[in-house]
This record gives sequence, structure tokens and C-alpha cells, in this order.
Amino acid sequence: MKILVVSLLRLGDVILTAPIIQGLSKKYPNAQIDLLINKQFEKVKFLFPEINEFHFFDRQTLQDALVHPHRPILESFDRLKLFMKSISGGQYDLVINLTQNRLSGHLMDLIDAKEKIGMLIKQPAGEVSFGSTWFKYVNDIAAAGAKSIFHYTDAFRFACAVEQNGYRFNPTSKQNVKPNGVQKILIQTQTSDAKKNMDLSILQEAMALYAKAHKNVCYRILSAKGESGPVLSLVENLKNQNIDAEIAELDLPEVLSECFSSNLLVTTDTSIKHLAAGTSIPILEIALGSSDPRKTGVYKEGSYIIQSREQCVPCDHRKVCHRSSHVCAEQIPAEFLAAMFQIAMHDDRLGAATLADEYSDQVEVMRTHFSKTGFWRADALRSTARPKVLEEWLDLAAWRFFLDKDHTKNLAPYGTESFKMKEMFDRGLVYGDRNSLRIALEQIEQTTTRSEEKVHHLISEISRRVRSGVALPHVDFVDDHMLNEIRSVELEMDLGDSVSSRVIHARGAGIRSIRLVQNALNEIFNHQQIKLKLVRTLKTQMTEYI
Amino acid sequence: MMEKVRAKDGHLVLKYQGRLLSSSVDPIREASIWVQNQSSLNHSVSTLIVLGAGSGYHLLELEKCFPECKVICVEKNGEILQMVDEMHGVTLANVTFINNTNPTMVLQNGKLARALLAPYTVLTHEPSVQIDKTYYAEVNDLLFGRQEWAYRKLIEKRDDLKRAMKPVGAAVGENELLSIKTLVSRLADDADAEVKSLLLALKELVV
Repeated sequence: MKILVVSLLRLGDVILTAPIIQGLSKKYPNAQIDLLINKQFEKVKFLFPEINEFHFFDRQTLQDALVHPHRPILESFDRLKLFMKSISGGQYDLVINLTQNRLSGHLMDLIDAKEKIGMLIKQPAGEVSFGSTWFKYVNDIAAAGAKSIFHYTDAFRFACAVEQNGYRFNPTSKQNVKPNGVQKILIQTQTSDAKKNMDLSILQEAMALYAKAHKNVCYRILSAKGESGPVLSLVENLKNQNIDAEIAELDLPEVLSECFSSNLLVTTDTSIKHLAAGTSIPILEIALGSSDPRKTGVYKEGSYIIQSREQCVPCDHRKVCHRSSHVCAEQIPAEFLAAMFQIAMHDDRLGAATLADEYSDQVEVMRTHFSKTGFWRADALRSTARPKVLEEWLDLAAWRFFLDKDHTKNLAPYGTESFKMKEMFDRGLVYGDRNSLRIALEQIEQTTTRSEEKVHHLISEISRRVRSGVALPHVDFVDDHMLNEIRSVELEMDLGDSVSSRVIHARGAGIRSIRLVQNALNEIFNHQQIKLKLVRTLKTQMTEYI
Repeated sequence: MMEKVRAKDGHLVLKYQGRLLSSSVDPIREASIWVQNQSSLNHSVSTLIVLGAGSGYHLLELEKCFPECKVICVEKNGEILQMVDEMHGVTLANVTFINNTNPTMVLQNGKLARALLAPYTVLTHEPSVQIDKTYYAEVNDLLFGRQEWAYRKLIEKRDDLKRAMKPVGAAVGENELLSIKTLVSRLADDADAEVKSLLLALKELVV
């Protein structure tokens, strides 16, 4: 069997293909797995011993030839044609597109393969297909701004039906030795997106506080080669306070080696975070700006993520920050950050929960874990977040049920699923106190029933309008009043604009387009029904247990 | 008037109307530097199209450095071509020479027409081009296909694209160059799926 995995986004996304590739390698031990990535990331080859052949998409050369007036106008066309022919020559049985963008969708159409999953834009009609309910979910629900969503890696993993929680990189040959009695802390402050950068004065204060409270702390400030400029003064100021700090200009293999020999990595949303998640190092992620830990948080058990609780977080990565200052970074108190160094280093859950409550007006503290139900979560640890966390668990469990089509089976495994959840609650995860858990379940049952009824009403009303107006080719099946109703349901269920965005498309476009809206509503209705069944089964199991 | 003169290193070089087409000191070294200075040169093209035969040394150097590439040389002046042939003979046997005084007729050459179906690079030998700037500028434009007239000529040689593009597409201003967006806007409704996917994918790279 020959499999091609396509990942044409940034370095972090390429590194995050590791759990998929490692999972595929276990699932198909005799398969030949190839990887198509952007040429600029050739340097990641050492991370993927499972890969038989790498294909490098030379984006830069294609772009240069497209925009340079002294290059033939058809040069890029001919280059791309040749490149895609060489890929198709691989005669793949399965091609998996882990890139949810239009470029990769068009390229997928140019690859000959027996089976393709992931975004595909089929010409000549330009129809978009996904080959998997999970990829469709990423496009229609996760990317539409819904709140309860799967980590992208989980969604891709489920789409490929691979069982692989987390991933592991092999230590490089030039492994550094962990110094005895010294706490070596790696700090990654800078990203390619200024909105995700840490506030260096707060960081400096936190580092100084931590170093004063603990003996033998040594900081290594990571930087790409030749890009250490912004952190020079940070290191100078720390040195002036007699704190052991130095800049480490390292390439990827060197960073990997450092991760195996250090005690903690403090990082923003960077490729370094994903690299470190494949090693043994504890990680503290500081999610700033457009970083959305729900989608791309550190994919590893027992890591901590902190994020400002400002309303604008996470922001749209395409837009400039509209605030007068970088509030999400400035709002993280230095003493809190210093305390989190210790908590993350020792995976101190109780300490984290206490700190989460203490600073709950400013910062969200989350701990990552792989659940018994099979997916990654970064759960908020403050006690007031518990009902919301529980609801998110149920939402995700219901989505997984729906997307894997478990609900269509003769003996749908509601009992097994809710039993797994109960086991987690018994271990004190998600919820500590059984009585408040029961009350929260009651409330979730009530709100879900209400939402289900509202969605059902919308479906019935649209069907009625379609039946009465079917002969009219250009009629608005969804008027402003109904659109508002849909938006209110979306808001209530934290679904982003997953339905209303299709309504705008469908307006005045006739019967075919309204089907998209009906399908979206039916999906949500099914999801709510599954969620209700899970809640009720769980409630019964809780009662039986007591 | 055309003459052969001997350079200081002993090699023969051409002089056309009193203008040297190569270094009179060390034409081989000059050719080597010329190849090194071609920023658009890389090994990922199939054909190198050179405008101007000069004294032929730059063509020899290209053959040496890029043995996997086809080399095609466009030279307007038949006399220069004859001299180059006399000087280098079989050593330039793998170079295809095109000699046509009408720039738009250059594309009628079968080897060049076939070469245009795969990535190619256009290189300019400046001393040769100086002899007739207008002619070579036109050949250059034709091979780049960035202007409306040149694009139309170029597309005539491309069966794959000719069928996929509308005969008359979105208008481009007189001094405006064509871009990938122009090409996409000219895609015919029944365009071949492969061409459509390729052009739409490329458009995504410049959005």
C-alpha cells in the first residue's frame, strides 16, 4: 500500500503531522508512506524516520516565476504540471490532505490515487468534497467559529482512523546531558506573528522572581540563528541581576536535543512547542493573540496552557490588534507566571487549580490530557468553569458519535461512551464533586432539550417553506426573521456562524442552495439528540453507581 | 563588417562593425563569469534559450555546466552564425541555432516550439543583443509572453492551453503585463479539468 500525506502549511503544522504519520505507520506496518510539504521545511526530514520519500513543493520558485516580469508567463504552469505528474507517478492508494485550504484542494485534484481524503476541489465543476465527515467537520464547524471543537490533530486522526495519542520523536545523536541539580528552563518568546509574542518586561520579572525563589536556575532563551535581536536586552537585564541566562541560537535538531535535557519549556504558539511535545520536557504554553489552544494547543498529556480572559481572545490572525496595547500579553501577572513555571515543571494539578481560581478574573489556566473517550482536551481548571467544561466534553463526545456514525449502528454504544466519561469523573477529572456534577447534568439536559426543540422548529419551518415555494426558482426560503432565529440558536449553542454563513449563500439562490442549510441544521439536530442520549445515559449510570 | 581577431590568450573572437563580441583578453574566463552571473539560471529547467551567439564561448560554457539542458540560441545575423560554426564546429553540435530576421517567426522552429512546453529560461548575451536591440527585445517579449500580442503567439503553440482559454478574454491595458489572474479570468467554461486545477492552484499562490 502506498500512502501520501499532504501538509502544505507552516512548520508547526508539518511537525503536527507526526501523530498521524506515526499512527498510520502502526496501522499499516507494510505501507510505504510519503510526505508532501513545502520545500522551505526540508529540514524536518530527521523527525520522520517513518517516511519513505519526501516531496517538496517549491512554493517560492513558483511564486517568483509568477510575479517576476522577466520570467516566462507559463513557467510556473509548466513547473507545477511536471511536479504534479511526478507525484501522480507514485501511484498512491491513499492520499490524505491535512491542509484545509484552496491551494491544496486544487492540487489534490491533480493527483491520481485510488482514494483521497481531505479537501478536494474537483474540476471542471469546482465541487468541494472532503472524503470524510471529519474533514467536513473541520471545514464547516471548527473553522466557522464553534466553541466546543476538537484539536485539529484529533479531527485528522479520527478521519484517518488511527489510534495514536500524542507522538514521540527520537533523541538526536548529539544528545545533551541534563546537568545535575540545575533547573534548565528553555524560553521561546518570539514568533513570526507579533500578536503572539510575549511581553518581555513581564517575562523578565517572572524569570527573576522564579530564579530568586529557586537555586541553580539556568535560562536558555531560544532563538533562530541570527534572529536573537529582540531578546538581547532581556538576557542583559537578567545577567545584571546575577541570573544565569543566555541566548541559544539553535537549529531544529539542536532544539530537540535541548528539549531532552531540560526541565521546562515556556513558549508561545510556535513550531518549537510542537517539536517539544514529541519529547519528555514539561511544557508551559502562553497562548496570545490569535493562538487558539482548542485547535492547535500543545498536543501532549500533562502540559499547561495559560491564556488571557479578555473578550477579544483569541483574535482573528488576519486582522491587526484593535486594542491600544497588547492587552492579552500585558494582562498575565509576573508573579502568576513565575508560579506557573513551578506548576508546569512538576505537573502540580492542585496547585494549578488553586492558582486558576486566584487569577480567574485575568487568566485562564488549562491542563492538557488525553481522555478515556479518546480525544485531547485542554480543560480550564478554575472551579467556575466546570459546568462549561462538562458541556464541552459532552458536545465533543456527541460530535465524535455523529461523525463516526456510531448513532446509526443497531446497538449504538451510548452506554460504553458515557461509562468512559463516568470513569473520568470518578477519577476527579473534569468534575470533583458528584452532587454538583448531577446538578450540572440536569442543567445541560434542560438546555440541550430546548436547543433541540428550536433546531427542530427551524427545520420544520424551512421544509414547509420549501414545499410551498418549490416552483419558484428565485425565492428567499430564509427571510431576515428566520436568519435571526438561526443566529440566536448558533449563539446559544456556541456554533459560530456554521449555519448562518450558508444561509447568506443560499438567499435567493433557490431550492438547491437551501439544501445546504437544511443539511447543516439536520447535522446540528442529530448532534443535539446524541448529546441528550449521552447525558441521560450518564445520569442513569451515576444514579446506579450511587 | 565581420572579422575574427585573436585574443591575448590565443583564442579567436569575433568583431562586428568594430565591436568585440567577446573579451579580447580571456574569452573563456569571461564566458564562465557570464554563466555564473545569470541569476535566473538553475538546473530545474529543461531548456536554456540564449539570445545572441557572440563568439560562441558562452554557449560552450553553458553546455559544460548544464549538460542535462537543451541549449537553443537565437541569432539574427547569419554571418555571425557562420563564423561561430567555423570556430567551434562540432563542439557546439548540441546547440540548436535559430536564425530568422523576423522575430515573431522564431516560434516556427519546431525544436523551440517543443521546448516551450516545459520550463525554460531566457538568457541574454549583451554584446550580441546590442547589435540589434529592437529585434532581441521583441524575441525576449515573445518568449516571456507577458504582453498580450506575445501571449497570443505563445498560446498558439500550446495545444493544452489553446483549448482551455477563451479566444478573447478580459482586456489588459496597453502597457499592462498579463498575470496569472488574467489567465484564470480567461478560462473557458469547458476548460480541461487539469488546466483549470493548475491555473487555480497557481492563483492561490499570489492571493
